[in-house]
Amino acid sequence: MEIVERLPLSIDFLALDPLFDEEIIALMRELLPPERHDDVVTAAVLRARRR
Amino acid sequence: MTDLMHADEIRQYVKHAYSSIQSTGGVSAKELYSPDELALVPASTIDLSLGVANHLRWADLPVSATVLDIGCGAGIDSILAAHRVGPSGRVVALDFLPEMLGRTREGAAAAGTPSVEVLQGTMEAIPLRAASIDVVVSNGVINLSPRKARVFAECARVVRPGGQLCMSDIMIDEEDLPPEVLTHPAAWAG
Repeated sequence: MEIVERLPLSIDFLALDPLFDEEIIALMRELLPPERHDDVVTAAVLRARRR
Repeated sequence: MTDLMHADEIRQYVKHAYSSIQSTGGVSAKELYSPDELALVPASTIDLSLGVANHLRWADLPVSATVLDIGCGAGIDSILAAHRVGPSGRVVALDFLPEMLGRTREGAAAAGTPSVEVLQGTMEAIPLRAASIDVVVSNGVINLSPRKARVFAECARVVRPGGQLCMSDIMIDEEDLPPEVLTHPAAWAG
């Protein structure tokens, strides 16, 4: 199993997903420093092959 | 560690979030997919796309392969996979929400990809035979399960020996996020 790609995701990107409601988006904007807003979580692409 | 006592609560939260999704304007799709890829997909499918990465770029999808797309949503990855495996291939688009399956069915028809077939079911109990799939793909979905180990066991069961899993999802550093965010139900997606 290997991680082949990592991408930073922003608060604005997460806000597009209905799972992240207005409450959690507002919390992130308020509690995280501005320099973190474009890199709040990481999307990872993982690949594996069954033996 | 998963708290199975909250599994139903998590599932209901996820179901509520995604069962009545409206258009996103295609913003996330335009950020993740190339113009050439988006040209293969109906606008209605692009509008409802909610992936977190473009994992198909890393997937080995030969012509005639059988692909399982776990949590197909509105179907963008199923349709793109269908274009790569061709009419002799097969793409099983799995989702537990009938609304999403309907959109995938419509999008696949509009895209001219008859090899996409929708299947309703859960990723914790994939309604497919063992070793029946060449490639399992998934985009920002497995994190939504309260039983992730079970999901990976099911992936291993349905993929044939030598087959591939190629997935994308969100990772978080728990030490990096405030507790108010980590304890919110939506944080389950991370």
